[in-house]
Amino acid sequence: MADSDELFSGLYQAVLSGDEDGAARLATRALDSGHSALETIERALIPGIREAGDLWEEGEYFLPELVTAAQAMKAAMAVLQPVLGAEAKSLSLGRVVIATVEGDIHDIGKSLVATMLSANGFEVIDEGAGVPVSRLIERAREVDADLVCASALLTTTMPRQRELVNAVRSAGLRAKVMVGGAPVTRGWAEQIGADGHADNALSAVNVARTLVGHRAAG
Amino acid sequence: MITGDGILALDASPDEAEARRLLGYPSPERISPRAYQRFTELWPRCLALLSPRGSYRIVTREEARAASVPEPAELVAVAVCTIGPALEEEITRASDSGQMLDALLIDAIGSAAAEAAADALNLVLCAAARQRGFETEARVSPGYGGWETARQRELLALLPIANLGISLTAGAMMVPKKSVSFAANLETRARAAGHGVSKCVRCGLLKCRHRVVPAECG
Repeated sequence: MADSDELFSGLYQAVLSGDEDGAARLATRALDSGHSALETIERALIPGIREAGDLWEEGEYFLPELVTAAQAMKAAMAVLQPVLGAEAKSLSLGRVVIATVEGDIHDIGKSLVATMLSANGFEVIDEGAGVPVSRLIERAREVDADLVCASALLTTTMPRQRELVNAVRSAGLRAKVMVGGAPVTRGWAEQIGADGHADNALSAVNVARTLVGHRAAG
Repeated sequence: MITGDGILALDASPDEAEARRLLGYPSPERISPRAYQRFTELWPRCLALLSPRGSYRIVTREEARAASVPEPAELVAVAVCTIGPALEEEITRASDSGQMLDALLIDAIGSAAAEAAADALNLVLCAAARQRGFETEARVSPGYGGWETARQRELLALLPIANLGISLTAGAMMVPKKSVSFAANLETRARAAGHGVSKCVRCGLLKCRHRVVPAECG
């Protein structure tokens, strides 16, 4: 038991400190020691990435630390995923299609959100930047998405988010829509009828959890 | 140095502390050892990828009005600069391969470099204006201070952007992204001191990560 505690504590610390190699190595050791992938995720990885988020909210961590924690989480998950099998489905918080809207080629903010969503248990389909609404609808339908996320970094491209909301409704998709980007406000999100708005990568995770949870409960 | 066609090669070294500020750190020393190590590894590589250059013109109030420059003076300096495409290609490479920390750090270095290029170009045009007996007011860019991003096309029509390797997307966004366009009124005497403090004072993007002065509440 003490060895297990030490192992999981080490893996938790590896995620928290953004040690990708350490996280992958300790995840391998957990499997070799007879622990299940699910137990490893629940006892070390999820607490680690959540603590990183808490530290970010407390102003102790900044974006690079949050991102390195997410990368370490992904490195460990890459080890665990192949042996998860049927458990993987129960772990997924939901399927997300994400992109920067057409006419806008800002990519990094959207990619950070995708990284954080993925590290926190969402299945993320990242369509890239400059993506037409029609392609987002097509992908959301194809993967039966729970959530479609659209980033716009320019006032000139924000109207594409409204088009997306309307298109999701018109297509009869069950997916919720979350919008974000530097000029995007909660007021804008409400005005266009989006289901959620996030102004940073971590709040995107929290909003996504709420939106998907609400949908499941409804 | 003028390289031809009115293009200036700019002496514009980015400031390390500014790059770290753009990553969200309230003070440069708050960066974690892991992120700092990667930052210092990437720094010289990034500097080698920069080719800052720019151009400016002094135009009449009528020309400035046509580009929707806010409150133009009788003479207005209009300018554009870029750090070139190489660093952005590096960001894309890092992002596409899932190295989000690298993408984030390189992006911040690129943003600091673009600002440094704009500062250098600003200095050049200030000196040129002073030789003609004018003072230069604080610069303002499309998308800030009530100047619509969509009007960037008209502003750039006044400048040799093709020679600089700059193009515009349908959403009026400059490519390379790490480019800065701006205008600055030329006055025979600088106006009230408040105009010179910071362009952030006049900008409506309250949560902008580039904001250097606190947004006023209420």
